Amino acid sequence: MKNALNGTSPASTDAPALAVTGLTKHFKTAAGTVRAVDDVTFSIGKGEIVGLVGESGSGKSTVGRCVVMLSPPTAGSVVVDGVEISGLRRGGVRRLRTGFTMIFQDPATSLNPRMQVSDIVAEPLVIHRKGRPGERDRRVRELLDLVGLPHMTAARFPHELSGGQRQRVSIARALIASPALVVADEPTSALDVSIQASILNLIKDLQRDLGFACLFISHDLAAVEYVADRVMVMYLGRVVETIDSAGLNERAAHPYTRALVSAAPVPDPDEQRSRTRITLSGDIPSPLAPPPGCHFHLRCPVAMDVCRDRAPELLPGSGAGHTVACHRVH
Amino acid sequence: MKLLDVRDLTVSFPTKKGPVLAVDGLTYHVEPGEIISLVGESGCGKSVGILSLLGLQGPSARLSGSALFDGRELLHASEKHLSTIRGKQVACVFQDPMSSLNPVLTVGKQVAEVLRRHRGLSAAQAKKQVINLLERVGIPAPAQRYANYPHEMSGGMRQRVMIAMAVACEPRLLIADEPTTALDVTIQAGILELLKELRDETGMAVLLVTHDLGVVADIADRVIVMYAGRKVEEAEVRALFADPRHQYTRRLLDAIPRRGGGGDPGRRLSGIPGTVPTLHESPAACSFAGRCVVASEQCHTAKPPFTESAPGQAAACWHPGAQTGHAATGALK
Repeated sequence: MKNALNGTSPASTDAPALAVTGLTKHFKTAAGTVRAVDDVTFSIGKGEIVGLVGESGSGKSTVGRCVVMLSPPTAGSVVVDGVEISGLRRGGVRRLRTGFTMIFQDPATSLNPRMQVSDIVAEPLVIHRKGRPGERDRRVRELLDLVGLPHMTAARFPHELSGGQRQRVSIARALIASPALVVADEPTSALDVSIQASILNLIKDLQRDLGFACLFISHDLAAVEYVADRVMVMYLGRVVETIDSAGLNERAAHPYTRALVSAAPVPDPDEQRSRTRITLSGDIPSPLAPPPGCHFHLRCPVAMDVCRDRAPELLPGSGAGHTVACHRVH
Repeated sequence: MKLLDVRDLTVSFPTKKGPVLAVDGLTYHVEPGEIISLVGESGCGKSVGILSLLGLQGPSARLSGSALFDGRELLHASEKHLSTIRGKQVACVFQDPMSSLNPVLTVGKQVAEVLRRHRGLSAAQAKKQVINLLERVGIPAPAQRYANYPHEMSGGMRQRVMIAMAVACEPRLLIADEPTTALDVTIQAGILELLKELRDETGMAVLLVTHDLGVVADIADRVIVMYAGRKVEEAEVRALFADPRHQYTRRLLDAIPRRGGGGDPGRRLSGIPGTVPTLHESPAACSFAGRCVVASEQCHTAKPPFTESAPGQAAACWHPGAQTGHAATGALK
């Protein structure tokens, strides 16, 4: 697939698809500074899918938006495919934008209702002046094939499509310029269960065939475990644990991850009713005034004195690629 | 004696393109103290099916059939009759507690209003009772929380307030429409636990509407599966998950990602191809036939009767036993 329509060639072949270091994002509001993301460091290898889970207010979507520069970080660096994008001005980011794209949660609001599907899908090529019109049309048809939409969809408007079909259009648009990195923010949360399964399969298949790296953000542990190679868990702006998907059930060590795993209901009545649940007291604290020390200590069932004073570092746990930020573990 | 007995409930809405049949001949019942779940995807009629019981279906809806609560008809009942039942004998909890609570009244006042209206308590008596209720539903520092406005509470706390309001008059039936859908899983677990406890303590029945089969597995005694306005299967919860008798139920269970076995590249979900049919008419066929992999000619031409396969389990499917496991459907996306 080497032609004018493909993305920028990577600056370095051994660099990870995404390297994020010390990412911090603060929002100034009338009530004070919201610390949405607090010193987050991680990387995604080429062709890897990393799941990012957490509850509302954990900062997972903000991480996604910072990574693609929809929301410039307050501090920290974001390196996509060997190129630092966090320090660039707007024009610089724009030139590189075909290399990192985003799939949003609600395809009903992220597609322009007045544009035909063919124009929506081709828009990244038009904006970046890639290819001649004939080539673009061919490429749009290629993409429609890839995401499983019939060619006649090209002349339709978003309102004529079902939710699942619209999400396929967003995926086609995100992939048309062959990005190195795709950030998918809750791509299946607005869809019904029966449709969700086919979209998860589609993302998995396309990733395998095209080899892009993917940050898959979701609150749904089962969906993340199904799609991702590795899972990263966030709580109140910080990453508390990173673990390979296969180990999530048995090897997860952080008390928050374990609570999350135990709270997600299993669609099997016998298994669900015999599980022991870790119940968390209280709610996620306000990111306006996060508690000192470990952000989780107020709700943690095994908190110690040190947890109130000192934030735990993200350190290696058991097994390759496992990191955990908890004083109980280290 | 059945607490709620709904027979052949049909709800349609007139539109420019002709009437839309949101609920098509729905029949079910709820026993006292039972947790029964109506399950289905968006547009299957599960919410309209319960809102119409309380006269909340909207002014343009046309209703037919019957719904007896404790032997008395609810459909087409007078507003006066309904207001003696709503809030007192039948209470509701909805999905989004923020839009169900009045933003300019303190939560305590709102819960107290129910007690004063239905039980005729004085302001002081009601306040005392409300603080007890808030404590019962797991709100810490209830006396202080009494004076909070809804925006000062988290989503989980607000839903607890809604539940406190709903159970204030010890209803015999609690209708809960997606009560945990807007909440995080760790909060959801607590709310489901609370509903079970309240059922055990007061013996109220719960009619739970949800799209989440994990929630169903957790809490329901009996399940009604709906598709395109119709009931397609009804079963005791364990039987439903162990041996679904409708192809739609079977495919729905295959479509949910399961925990465990993560990172296995060979694992594959099977989605359901196609989309839900439009509800402009009641087809003389199985509504699911167009998306069903085992559909035969019969499925497209004749509406399958609701047939009992085992005591307490029944489905409207011409091919209840046909196997379409992961192996058989692996090629489908």
